[in-house]
Amino acid sequence: MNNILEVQNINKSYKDFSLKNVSFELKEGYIMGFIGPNGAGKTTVIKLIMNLIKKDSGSIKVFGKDHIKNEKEIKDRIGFVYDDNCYYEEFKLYEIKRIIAPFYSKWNDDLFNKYIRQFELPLDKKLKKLSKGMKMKFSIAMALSHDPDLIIMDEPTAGLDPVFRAELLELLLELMQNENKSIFFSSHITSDLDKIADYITFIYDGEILFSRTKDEISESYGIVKGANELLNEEIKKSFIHCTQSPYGFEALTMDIPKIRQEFGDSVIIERPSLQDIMVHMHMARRQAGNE
Amino acid sequence: MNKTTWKIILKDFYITRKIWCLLIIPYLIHFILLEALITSSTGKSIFYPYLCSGLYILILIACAQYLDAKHDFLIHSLSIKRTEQIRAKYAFVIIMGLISFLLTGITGAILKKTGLSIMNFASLTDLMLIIAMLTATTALTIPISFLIKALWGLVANISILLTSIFVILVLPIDITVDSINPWLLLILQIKKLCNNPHNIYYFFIISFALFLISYLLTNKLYTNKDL
Amino acid sequence: MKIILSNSSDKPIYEQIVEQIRSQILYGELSEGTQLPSIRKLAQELRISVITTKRAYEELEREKLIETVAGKGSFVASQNKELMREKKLAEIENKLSEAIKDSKLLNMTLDDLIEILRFLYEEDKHE
Repeated sequence: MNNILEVQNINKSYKDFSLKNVSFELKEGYIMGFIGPNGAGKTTVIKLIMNLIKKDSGSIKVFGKDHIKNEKEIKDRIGFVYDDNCYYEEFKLYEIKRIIAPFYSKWNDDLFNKYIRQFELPLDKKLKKLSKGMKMKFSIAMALSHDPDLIIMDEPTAGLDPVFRAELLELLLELMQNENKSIFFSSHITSDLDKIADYITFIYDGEILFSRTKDEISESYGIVKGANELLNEEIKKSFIHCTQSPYGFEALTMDIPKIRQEFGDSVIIERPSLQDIMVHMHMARRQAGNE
Repeated sequence: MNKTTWKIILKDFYITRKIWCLLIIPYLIHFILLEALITSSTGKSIFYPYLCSGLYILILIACAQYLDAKHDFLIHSLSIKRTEQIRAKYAFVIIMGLISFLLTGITGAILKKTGLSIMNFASLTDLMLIIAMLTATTALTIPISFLIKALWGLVANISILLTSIFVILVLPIDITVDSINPWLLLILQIKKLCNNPHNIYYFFIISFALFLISYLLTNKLYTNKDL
Repeated sequence: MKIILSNSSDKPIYEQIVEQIRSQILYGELSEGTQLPSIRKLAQELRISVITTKRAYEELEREKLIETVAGKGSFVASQNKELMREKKLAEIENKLSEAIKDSKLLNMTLDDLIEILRFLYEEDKHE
């Protein structure tokens, strides 16, 4: 099993933000969801992988090769979708295709036309005349039409209606039937990733908090709900974070066996969604920051 | 100059193709008008047509430059290295200069055949002048576009363009100036210099040298830039 | 093949898959030699991670319920009749244990439970 993407100890500092020792791996044939709140560094990591910005230290390998030394052959096999449209706004869609296509060795016009038909995009309209959703659809069509082996997407579903989001996820799952393809998908709409991601990497304030399979995550974390009376300082220690309302508490824990042992049936333990985990961990860090 | 660099140059031709069509008309009119003006006043044809066509070509270059500098995310997410982009941009200038020179020469030759012009077909100094003008301009504007900001590069190109047009068109060729306006004096000096073929030669050498230095510097700095 | 997953169940998804396929194999709904969908196809259809389906299939393979042929796919393995009977017995025991556990929550006695069992058995005989 090859690693299609290997990020090791990446550091990048800006004035008021920095990436610290960011590391994670994506194996060939899987989908990795890259989650984190806004400003956590998701776009920065993607720009680093694509060598649009320069890292201070660390290494990045794509398809097993260094991402700078073999930049060209790597990018030939990467389909990218950025959250801000990066294509020429002044040109018509077919013109943009004619500009971009020659730069990919595996460009497939039939495939491109198939996506254009499927997404119902008007080829002879200028890009700036399209709605945000349609611009995104165009980006997606462009990214997929050269049969990429790695698809990198930065918030591709933000601003898309739920119908198209479902359509896109279907499309991606269909692509993944080919076990030589991989997808790296950053999003803060975690419900999409809940459905299709195999691995989840969580970045927060420039640091990777975890990078594991979705199964592992939903099995090792638990949302504990119970009455306030059950809480004491001792128990709070086995919670990552706890919120209380007048009617009870809800907490995130990594120690399900212990909680079961302590409370038995007097609490409910549910499988957490990615959003639950993200929100609780964010609040935990904020609390820790305030203390 | 590898395959990708040529692809970028072809792309730049494709991107600016509408402007090509739009520019040919004012260029021809301008050429004919100017030619008629100059010939009638001095009895001989000089280099102005070549210089003017160079200016129109500058518009094309400015557009291609601006579009690519603005879409750097896109360009470098494709299989395009930083050095290939820079090399393509500088090469584009030279190629455009040559094309402009050929087009002007051919236009002049046709007009001469129809009797509208007495302009001689190209001489080496004409070629050197166009190249010198384009290289001098872009030596400055390419680094601005790619290293600083695309919009500023465009502004720089337009400023140079407007100044040049002002220099050539607005002021008559032979003028005795009584005022001590330094700006006017500078322009006159430039015109005097340009009238002398020897000076054109020096102008070309210096421009081209600046152009090469600019290329090396921009290449180095752009490779390490955060986009 | 029928697989219905519940997000609110305590059991991890892969376990639910294993149980349902196991049960269908043991009770003959999935006959010997039937080809199962590939792990990717199954993941796509169920909208879950391919790692989960892989895990489920690996577990089923460990229990010798299915066998995977490289390049061809996964198939229901031929079941040893003795083994099947044992597995079915194990399932019945599991189900009864659950019922016993539930009955204890309601403070029922063994006799109460036997009473219910008898009633249901009779009822089933008449159908």
